[in-house]
Amino acid sequence: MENIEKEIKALVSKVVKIPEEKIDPNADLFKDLGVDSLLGVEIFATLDKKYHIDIPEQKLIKIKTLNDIIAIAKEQIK
Amino acid sequence: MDSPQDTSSYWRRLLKLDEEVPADFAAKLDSFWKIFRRPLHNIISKLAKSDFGLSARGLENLPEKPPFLIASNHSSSLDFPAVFLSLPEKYKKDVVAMYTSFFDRIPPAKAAIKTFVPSFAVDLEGSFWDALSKAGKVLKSGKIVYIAPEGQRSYDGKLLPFKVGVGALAVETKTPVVPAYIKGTFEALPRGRFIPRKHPVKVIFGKPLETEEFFIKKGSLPAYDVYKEFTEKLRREILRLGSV
Repeated sequence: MENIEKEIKALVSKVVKIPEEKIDPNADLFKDLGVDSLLGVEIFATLDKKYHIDIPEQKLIKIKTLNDIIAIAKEQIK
Repeated sequence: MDSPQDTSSYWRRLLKLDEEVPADFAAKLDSFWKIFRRPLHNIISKLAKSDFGLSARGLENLPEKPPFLIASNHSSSLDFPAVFLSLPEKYKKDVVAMYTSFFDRIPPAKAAIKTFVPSFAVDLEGSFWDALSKAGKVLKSGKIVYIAPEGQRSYDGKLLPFKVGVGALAVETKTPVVPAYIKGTFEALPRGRFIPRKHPVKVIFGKPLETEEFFIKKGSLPAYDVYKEFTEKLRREILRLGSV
């Protein structure tokens, strides 16, 4: 599971083009890091492509931080 | 074909583009208010000519047949009526508009919108995927969708950044987008003003931007990057029309 966390952090960093070390896992990706909300969707599209993690539309608006993404990913992988 | 780089299947699911579209989907967006549509169009059309000298350029650029999207700058509540009234009659029966859900809270405003044109709301506070997926279904029904990609009215008349959703919608439905620049509506009825002042209004339609090459690009680029590239191209074209 720890591996997944690292992989997801790397994936998010690559999609949003922000270095991993600058992504605080609890920072609001959209408000604090200035990620465009639709670029956020690309994070989930990439997760879907790579890990077949299908995040339903209703959950999209609730996801704000890297830790939220990791939690959803772990839940889906279970 | 699905390539390892193509992330669009998730976007397509959000847009519900692979669902079958009922034959009466677009018709169901209309309401009983349509019985007043013709007289309302006649009144507003006369006002548009007398008070705003509404004129249009580039009508020859409109595709012969729907479906297509029309995307314009947005700085006034007069923008959609200006675009709609500029269109040749043959297109008007096929136009469907998107409006902000704010107007759903004001029954007379909602009734006026529904009387003017078949339409549906974009929920700016919740998920806007519902609205984009409806727009996709309307296009698949062979209609014309008007969209303001800035997502809100400009405060100073200058073009705001565009929301990438317009690119996702156009590219994934492989629908051409007609860029349009509206001049004069900001001067006539900017934000914060409720009574329009007389001012000439002109709508300039550009050549449609085709989406096929962008659809193919998804095989080698993340879907978001492709949608953004298309959206930026559309914005540049609308800016260019405004400077002509």
